[in-house]
Amino acid sequence: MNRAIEVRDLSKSFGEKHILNRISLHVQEGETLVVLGRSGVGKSVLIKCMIRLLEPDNGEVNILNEDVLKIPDGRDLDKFRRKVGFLFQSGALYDSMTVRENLRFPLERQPDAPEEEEIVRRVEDVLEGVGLSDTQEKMPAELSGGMKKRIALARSLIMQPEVMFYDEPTTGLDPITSTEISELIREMKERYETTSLIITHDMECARITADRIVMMKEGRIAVEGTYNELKENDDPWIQAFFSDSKKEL
Amino acid sequence: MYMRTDALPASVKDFLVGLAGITQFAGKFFRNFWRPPFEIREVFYHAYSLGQKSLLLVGITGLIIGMVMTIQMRPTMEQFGATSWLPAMVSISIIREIGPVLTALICAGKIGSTIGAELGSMKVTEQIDAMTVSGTNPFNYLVTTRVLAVTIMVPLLTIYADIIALFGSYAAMNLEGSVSFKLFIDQSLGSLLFSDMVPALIKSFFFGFAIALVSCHQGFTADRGTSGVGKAANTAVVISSLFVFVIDLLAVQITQLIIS
Ligand SMILES: Nc1ncnc2c1ncn2[C@@H]1O[C@H](COP(=O)(O)OP(=O)(O)O)[C@@H](O)[C@H]1O
Ligand SMILES: [Mg+2]
Repeated sequence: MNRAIEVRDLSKSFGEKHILNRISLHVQEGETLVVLGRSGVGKSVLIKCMIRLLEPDNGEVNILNEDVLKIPDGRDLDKFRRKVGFLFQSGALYDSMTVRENLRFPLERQPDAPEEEEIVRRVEDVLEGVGLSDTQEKMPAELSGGMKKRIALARSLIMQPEVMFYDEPTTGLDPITSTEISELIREMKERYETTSLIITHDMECARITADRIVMMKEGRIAVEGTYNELKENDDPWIQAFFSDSKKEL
Repeated sequence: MYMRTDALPASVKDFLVGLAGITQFAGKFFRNFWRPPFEIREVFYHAYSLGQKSLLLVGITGLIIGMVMTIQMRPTMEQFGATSWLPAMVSISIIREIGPVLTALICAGKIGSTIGAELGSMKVTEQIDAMTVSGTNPFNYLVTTRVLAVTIMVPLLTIYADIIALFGSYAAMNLEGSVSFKLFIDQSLGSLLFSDMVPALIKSFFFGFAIALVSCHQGFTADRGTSGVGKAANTAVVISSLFVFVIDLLAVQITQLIIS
C-alpha cells in the first residue's frame, strides 16, 4: 500500500519554545490515523505545518506524492491545498455568509469551477450527507455547536479531498454530539474513501474513527498501536487518556 | 546591512516591523490585483456598505466646518475691507485641505475600525486560515476588494463633504446680510483653479488606499484571543490617521514642486 502522508523529522519552535522535535509519522492510503496528545502539546501546530499554515523550521512533509514544503507559495500551493480538506477546531464557518454561500465559496472559486447545476447538486448532496438538508438559508450564528461542526465538515468534503485533516473534531461538544460527529466522520470516510488524519485528546473519538493511533509527547511520537493494544498497555501515562475521556462522560 | 534589532527600543522596533509589513501588504495587493477570480460584486458591496456608514458623519462635519470657517473669517476680512473675498477664501481652504483631510480622518475612524474588527475577528476565528486551506486566496476576496472600494469611496465622500461645506458657508454668509446664491457660487468657485481641485482629489485617492491597506493589514495580523480584535480595530484607526497626515505633508511638498 502507498503512503498518502509521510512526515519525517519535522521540527518547529516559537522562539525558545520547541513544540515539534523531529516528529515522524505516516498514514497509508485510505487509512485513518489518530494523533492523541494532551492539550498544548502541539497537535494543531503539527497539522498546520503539514498544510503550510505555519512554516516548519526543519523536516520533510510528503502528501500525495508532493514534497509539500517545497511547493512555491501561490497558485501551485493553492492547487495542492484543494486536494486536501481541513476541519478546524472552531469550525471556522464564514459568519457573514449563509450555509449555502459557505459551501459554495471554495467550489465557485476554483480555476476550473463546476457548472452551476453541478454546484447546486453538490451542495444538496453534501448537506444530505451530514444530515442538515434544511439549513441552506441559515446563518452560522443560528446553528448549534454540533450543527456548525457538521456544516464545516460538509464544506471540506464538498471539495472531494483525497486527504482530510481534523483538528479536535469533538472538542467542546457534549458527549452525545461528540459520538455523533465521530460516527459521521467514519461514515464520510467510508463513503469517500478519504485518507484521514485526526488529532484529538478524546479517546472515544479515537475508538470510533481510528485504524491506528499514535500518541504525542514532548514534540514526538511516543507510542503507537490500535485502540485495543493501547487499552491493554498499563503504562500510566497511556491509561490517563482512557480515564480522562471517561471523566468527560 | 545587518542591524542589531535588539539594540532598538521595543516601540521603534514594532513600528519598523509594522511598516515593513504594510509595505509587503501593498506589494501583495498589486500582485493580486491582476489575479482572478475578480470579486467585482464584493467591491461594490464594500463601497456601498463602508461608504454609507460614513455619509452622515461626513455630511454633518462638512456643514459645520463650512459654517464655522465663514463665521470666523468674516471679521478679519471685514477689517481689510475684503468681504467679497470671503467665499473664495473659504472654498479654497475647504477644497484644498480641509475637505480631503477631514473626510479622510473620519473615514480612518469609521472605516478603519470596521475593517480592522471584521478582518481581525475572521483571523482570530480561523476563517482566514479556512479560506487559505481551501485553496481560495483570501487576500483577493478580503483585502483587494476592500482596498479598491475604499480607494474609490474616499474621494467621492470628499467631493460630497466639499459640496456640503460650501452650502454651510453659504448659509453662514446669510446669517449676516444676504448674498444671492448665484453671487456666492461666482465668488467662491470663480477663483478656484484646476490646480486646487486636482491635487486634492488625487491625494484623497491615496488617503483611501492607505486607510484600507493599513486597516486590512491590522486585521490580518490580529493576535489570537478576543482582545486581538479590539486591538486590531484600535490600531487600524491610529495608524491610518497617522498615514493620512504623512501623506498630506508629502502631497503639499509635491504639489508645491510641480506648481512652482
Ligand atoms: N502562532 C503561534 N505563535 C506562538 N506560539 C504558538 C503559536 N501557535 C501555537 N503556539 C504554542 O504552541 C503550543 C502548542 O499549541 P497547539 O498546537 O495549539 O496545542 P494543541 O496540542 O492543544 O493543539 C502552545 O504552547 C501554544 O502556545
Ligand atoms: Mg489545538
